[in-house]
Amino acid sequence: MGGLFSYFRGLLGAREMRILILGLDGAGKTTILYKLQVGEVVTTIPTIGFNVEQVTYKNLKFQVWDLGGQTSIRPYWRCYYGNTDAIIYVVDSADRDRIGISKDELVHMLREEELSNAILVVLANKQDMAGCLTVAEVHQALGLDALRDRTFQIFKTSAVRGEGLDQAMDWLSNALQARK
Amino acid sequence: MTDSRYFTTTKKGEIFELKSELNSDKKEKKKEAVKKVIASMTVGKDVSALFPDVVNCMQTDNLELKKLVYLYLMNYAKSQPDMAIMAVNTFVKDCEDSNPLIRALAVRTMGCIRVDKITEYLCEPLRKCLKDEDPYVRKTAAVCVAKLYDISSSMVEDQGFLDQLKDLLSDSNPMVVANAVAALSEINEASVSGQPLVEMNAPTINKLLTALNECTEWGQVFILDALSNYAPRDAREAHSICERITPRLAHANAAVVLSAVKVLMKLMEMVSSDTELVSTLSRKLAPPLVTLLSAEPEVQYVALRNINLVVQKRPDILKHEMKVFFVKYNDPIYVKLEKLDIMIRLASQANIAQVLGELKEYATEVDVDFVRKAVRAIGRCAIKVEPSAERCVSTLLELIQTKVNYVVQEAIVVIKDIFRKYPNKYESIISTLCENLDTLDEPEARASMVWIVGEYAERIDNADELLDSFLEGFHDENAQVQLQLLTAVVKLFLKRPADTQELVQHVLSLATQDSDNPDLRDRGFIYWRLLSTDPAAAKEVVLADKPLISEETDLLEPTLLDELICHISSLASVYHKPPTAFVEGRGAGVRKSLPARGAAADEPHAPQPTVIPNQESLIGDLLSMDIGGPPPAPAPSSNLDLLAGGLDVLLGGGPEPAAGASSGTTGLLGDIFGVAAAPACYVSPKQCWLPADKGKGLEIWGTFIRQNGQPRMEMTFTNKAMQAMSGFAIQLNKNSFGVYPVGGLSVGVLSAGTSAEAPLALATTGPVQRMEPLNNLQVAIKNNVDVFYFACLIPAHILFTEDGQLDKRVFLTTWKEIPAANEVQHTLSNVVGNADTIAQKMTLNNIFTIAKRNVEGQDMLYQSLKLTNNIWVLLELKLQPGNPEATLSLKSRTVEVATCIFQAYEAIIKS
Amino acid sequence: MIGGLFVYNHKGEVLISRVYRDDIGRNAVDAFRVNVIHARQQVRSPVTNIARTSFFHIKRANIWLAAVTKQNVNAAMVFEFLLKIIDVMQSYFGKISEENIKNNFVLIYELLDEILDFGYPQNSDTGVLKTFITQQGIKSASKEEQAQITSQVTGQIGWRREGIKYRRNELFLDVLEYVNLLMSPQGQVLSAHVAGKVVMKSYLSGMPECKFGINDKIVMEAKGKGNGGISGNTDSDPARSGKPVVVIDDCQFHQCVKLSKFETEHSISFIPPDGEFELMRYRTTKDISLPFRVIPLVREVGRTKMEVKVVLKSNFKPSLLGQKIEVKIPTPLNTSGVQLICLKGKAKYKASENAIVWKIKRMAGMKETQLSAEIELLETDTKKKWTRPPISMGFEVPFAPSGFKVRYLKVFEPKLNYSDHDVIKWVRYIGRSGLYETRC
Repeated sequence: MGGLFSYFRGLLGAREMRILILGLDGAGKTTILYKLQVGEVVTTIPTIGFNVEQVTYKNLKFQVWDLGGQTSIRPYWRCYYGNTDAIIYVVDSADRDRIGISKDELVHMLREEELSNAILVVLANKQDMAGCLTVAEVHQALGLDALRDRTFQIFKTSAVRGEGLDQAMDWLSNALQARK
Repeated sequence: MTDSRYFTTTKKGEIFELKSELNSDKKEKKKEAVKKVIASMTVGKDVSALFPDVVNCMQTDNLELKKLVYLYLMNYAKSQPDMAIMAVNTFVKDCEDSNPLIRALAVRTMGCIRVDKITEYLCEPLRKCLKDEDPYVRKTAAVCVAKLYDISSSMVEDQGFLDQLKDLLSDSNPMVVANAVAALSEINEASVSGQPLVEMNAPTINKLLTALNECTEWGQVFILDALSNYAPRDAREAHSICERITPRLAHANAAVVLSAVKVLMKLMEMVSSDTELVSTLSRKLAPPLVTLLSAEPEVQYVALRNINLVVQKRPDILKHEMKVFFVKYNDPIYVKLEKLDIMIRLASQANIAQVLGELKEYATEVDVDFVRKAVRAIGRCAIKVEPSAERCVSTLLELIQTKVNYVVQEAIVVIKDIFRKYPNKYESIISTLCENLDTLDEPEARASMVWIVGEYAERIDNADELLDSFLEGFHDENAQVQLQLLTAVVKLFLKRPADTQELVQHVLSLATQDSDNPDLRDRGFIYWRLLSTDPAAAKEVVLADKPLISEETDLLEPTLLDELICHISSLASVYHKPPTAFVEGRGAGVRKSLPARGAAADEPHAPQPTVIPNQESLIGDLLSMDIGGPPPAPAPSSNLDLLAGGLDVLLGGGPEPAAGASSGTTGLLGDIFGVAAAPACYVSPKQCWLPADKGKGLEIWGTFIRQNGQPRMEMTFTNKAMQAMSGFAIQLNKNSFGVYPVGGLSVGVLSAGTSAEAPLALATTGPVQRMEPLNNLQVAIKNNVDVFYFACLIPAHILFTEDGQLDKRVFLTTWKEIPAANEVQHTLSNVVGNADTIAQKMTLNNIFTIAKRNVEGQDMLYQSLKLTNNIWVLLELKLQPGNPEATLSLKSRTVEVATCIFQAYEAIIKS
Repeated sequence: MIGGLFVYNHKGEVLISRVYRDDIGRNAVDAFRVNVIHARQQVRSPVTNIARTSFFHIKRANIWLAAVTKQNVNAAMVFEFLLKIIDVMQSYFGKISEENIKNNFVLIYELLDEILDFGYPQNSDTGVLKTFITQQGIKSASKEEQAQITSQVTGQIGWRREGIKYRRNELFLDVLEYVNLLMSPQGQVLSAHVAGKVVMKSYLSGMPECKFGINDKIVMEAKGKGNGGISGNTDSDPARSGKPVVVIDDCQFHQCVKLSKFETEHSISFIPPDGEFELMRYRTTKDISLPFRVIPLVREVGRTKMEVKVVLKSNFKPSLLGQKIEVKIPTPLNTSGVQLICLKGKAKYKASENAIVWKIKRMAGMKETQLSAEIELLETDTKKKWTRPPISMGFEVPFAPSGFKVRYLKVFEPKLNYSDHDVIKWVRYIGRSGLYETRC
């Protein structure tokens, strides 16, 4: 079914949606990418560089870029901003110490001209961890209240348990299609 | 559509266009764009600005595209070292791909990306790939270890990759073994310590020999080249290796054949007691060597250069194969010249008729170099094969009759040698030669002709006129012609003093007053004083019998030949030069030498032929001294003694005794007459090396000096015993820098209570053995009483060479390349003078200042120096005006030398 | 090892540049162009050293191929490898030309990446390369296929893949000999040798083991004495059996031949590659039957005229026919005109080649024919002497001038059900001229 559908889409010239997964190192970006792609939790090592995969979700095809979150790599995120339709920003809800840094990176990124039309999904990840911030706390800590002119939504997720991702993707698919 | 169109896009805005194409959704478009990028890269356009865009194409399932991206990365990663990190994750992923071709591709490429930040991520994937289940991945990983070693040797050693590599020598797959052995050989040669990091042993060798039968032609070359570095424990092992290698001689690949020849030539030295085996091997070596001559001309050229070595080392092998070296009309010139060289070497009584026929044919060809060489070859045949001399001479005369200018000149040069070889035999042709005097315009030919006129002045009636005619344009002549003219006129005068006095005075004044060539002036002065003081002695010196010239000419010096035999098939064998002459730094590897011949090898060994001295050493020729002889020659020759004594008398017992025989012409004459020589390096005061109570009355004080690019020992011998001492000789033990004496001691008889100066010129290409401390030198002195031993320290600065100045940029990159671990610091105290005076002092000692900077009131001097063994040392000297302490930072790939360099700095700075 | 590889066109423009080692910079590309390609004098050596960097080059049809290094590399290997690259390229896209190289540059880069790693030559067998360097992007090969490729690239039998099947098992053997001769004007043989090769085309199923027998003297002797090896005893006359033998000076084999077996047992056994390959090369110098003899007679009549007479004799069985006969008689550079008379074939003066070219389509054995020419010369300053290059000739004859004979070629394939008898075998002998020259 999906194959046939995308075949028609291909004929109509629709292009793949381009999505970036960003966030600090160790937030769970790569785990989320492969959970989305193959539906399994794979063992990952820190991503020195990037991963790019085709993800099909409910007949929609996405080209998803997962960029490494190390300090040394963050400066190169901007090389990937062009033509981006959506950003999935992943936050380690258990990493209270660095939530501030996470906020700074997010704010910094959203200022970029190239991303002005990109839809933002924030995932408050690692909700399975004891003592983590709640989704509201994350919302607060990232200063999302202050966001203007941006389609965005925050979700609580646990990538290793596979919780919350579907809701987030549902919302994102709808938002992307609505924008057309 | 064809790919050549990619080469034609050159419009403005191209980069921008490419950028958007690279980011296209369409795979085909992307691939097209990458192809364009690679094409631009090939023709030298800078497309580094596309780095992020190309890197983003890396994760693709299209193998062709992936390879192109990797190719781009290898080229540009270095120029985008920070951004290159974005590629790491893809490499790591690819190293775990299910397809072995992709795993290998990733590890192969990753090793070519020389960015420090990336290298650290290479280790884990490499470790896995070395143990991969697929041999294709393992063989690629093996080479990658060598790549990593080139980037960071310490990482290879620390991470245990050497052991893993060594394990691969026992791999079940022959190609893995071959690549592993290639990588290990390279690592061993490049080892910082100069010592091989992984030693081969008998079981390993056995495995290699097994793999040899099964791997690709290239792999066979790697294995054979590695085997050539292995020294078997005994003749038996050598024998068995020979047997297992001999079949390789029938391989279709010339490199396999030549590498096998190399191993066999080396092992033949070890089994030389087994004459039967040696002769079997010799017999088996000939046919494959000959077959190489039917290969493509380029391969033929390499083969011929190597055959030249083989023929010099073991003339028997190809002695019956003269014909195959006959030149073909359509051979490329480089093949022709090499064949000719070998023909001369193989010429013998048995084949001389044929050879001469050929040579005569060649002398009429068109290529000037080739014709000249052919003419020269005829002369060589005359000298080598006595019964043919007459025919050679008449052939040469025929050629002279052709009046082809360069043929005539070449013929005259060789006829001079024929005269020397067969005195009083062919002088009848002198008149024919004289007819061509006017046409000679090349210095060597003119010098030869002048020599002939002078030498046979008594037979040439108008010798005075002939020589006089030359004197008119004396100052326009080349130096070697001038020297010959001077000597020829003096000879003439000694033979016919009555009517040539005016002539000799003319030439002496031309030489001593009007010339600014020191060699010429000095020789003129010697003659002048000799003639005015003691004409009889002059006669004895100038007209002395000349040593006969030997048969073989243009032979390589035996130790060099042996070294080159160990390098058969390599570039060294093509250049006939040791690798150190054309390879920089540690890449040149350890100096190789043949194993000692087997014990019972007392085969009658032909005495080492002396080589015809070339023109530079004409002065040696003049004074009948044998300079060409191989070092060391500790016993002073009687000629030398005579000369030294004689000159002493001539000069009224001058205070300076003659210098060592081989200190070069300028040194020799310069010392005698006190001609100002180049400013010398710092010389420390003489120290007592051998106190009289330990030397049975002989006391030696000494120091070292470097002058005119040559290191020297300066010693004072004092006899504090009751009776005269004589028979002095000196020997130096093997040492870290290969220092050995050229020539012997000039001290003759030392009567009781007297002193004598004993300068000793040193060379630095002798055998090397590491000493502790590095600059330690052990000396043995012998006289009629006993042998005495002492040790002294060579001040490092006398080993700093004149060409130690690095280019600024090279300095900078080298400084960066040398790892921090190789940096040593030292504090100099009691420093006097400012940066400029210090730099000056340093320059005198071959420490070159590359740049000077002033940073926050401190003077920084960046300096470089090179040791005689080609070790480069880079230094930074920090001086603070008014502060007697200075900081010296040193970087070198061979950091062991630091201590003695610091000592040298201390000494020079305080001088 | 090799630090870099460059390909240039005749103008010195770079077509391919691949650097393998860090010590080779981009300036090396230019150094070679300036010092060798654009050098004013003729190149005197295939190896050039410029500023401590060594360049090896070969030039084929206007294309320069250069390998660069800063190390003491194995020089023979570098040249063999360059020749191999030419081979590989030819087998992928035919003639080496600027256009073909530009059209295939992506392929060439892919090949260069595969066959040279860090400057070390890797498996460069075309047959094997073609199994996985295809320019087809990725053919999602199955795991088994991948494993097969890698085991072949690295394997003991790197030159043959498993599972080859033919309905008809057939093989062709061509014994191809090149006769080389240098003869003096008086008819004395100065040097002569035959460079021969055996080219095999095999269309055999499975992994067949082959044994090849020839009338080599040593092999025949060894056989006569039952694996006696080389005992040095040459008393037993192999010719006793009435069969002529050939004395091979030296021979070399394709890498498929088990060299150690040849060394010990003097038997040539191998598993052949599929299709065409060169099984062996050999060289002989004794008892060569020279198919043709050229007898020149040159007379210089004054300064403006020369007379040349050339007699050509064929020297083989009258029942055989020599073909493609061509005699090339050099003429002086100042030749202004030539009158020719020949009894057989056609002769023409070719000014561009400075030679008279005499062509004869066919000539039977034991025949004789001749050509006479009158050459008119322009008066010139006599300083430049004409050096009388040798007369060269070309031909093809249907026998092996060395006397080389194939005695048998046996095929064993134990796993499949065909036997030696089922294989159809063809043998052909061709003798051609190598450098066949007579001085005049």
